[in-house]
Amino acid sequence: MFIAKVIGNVWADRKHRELAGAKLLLVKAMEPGGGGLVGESTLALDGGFGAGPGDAVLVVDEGGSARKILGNPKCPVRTVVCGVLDKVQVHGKTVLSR
Amino acid sequence: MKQAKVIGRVFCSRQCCGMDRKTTLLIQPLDWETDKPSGDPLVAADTVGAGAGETVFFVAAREAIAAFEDWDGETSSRTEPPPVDAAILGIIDGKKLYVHS
Repeated sequence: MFIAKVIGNVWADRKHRELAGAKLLLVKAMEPGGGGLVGESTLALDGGFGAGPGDAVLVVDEGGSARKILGNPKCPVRTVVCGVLDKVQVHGKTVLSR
Repeated sequence: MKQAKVIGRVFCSRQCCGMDRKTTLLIQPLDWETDKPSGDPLVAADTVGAGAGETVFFVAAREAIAAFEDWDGETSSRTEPPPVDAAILGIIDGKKLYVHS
């Protein structure tokens, strides 16, 4: 899992049948210390926690867990937003809070 | 899952079990933010009927096979899941970036 920021969304009419109705979010990993964004952005499915643009979220990047979160054993995805962050503490200091 | 542009099609008549009747496309992965090519082109199996020049999103690794499990193909006979490591899952109609880094 990693912490990330929702930087945008994607829409697609024609998609795999198991993805019908899914919300597609663009996420980019956050630096734990400062809150800056690092690495390459990736497409993630919304796990049903109401994450929107600008939110700091928890992302799981593994197929088995992703399917479990979505409750669909046939869904061909590996990246799913599995929570919205309230607070992050590093060495006792709060570096992010809602 | 990554964004890519379909740049071509790959034809292969002698191939492994479970690969028959599947469209294999040559795709160039693109960066989500800049739309610039990111990494080398690769071959992906199609699930949505994407065509040349279209922007798609795809999943790589084990999850690509999940895209084909219980896939029936064009015939009614049950088919084995194909040994693929990239699958095109959708054709992108649009995207919006709210946070620029």
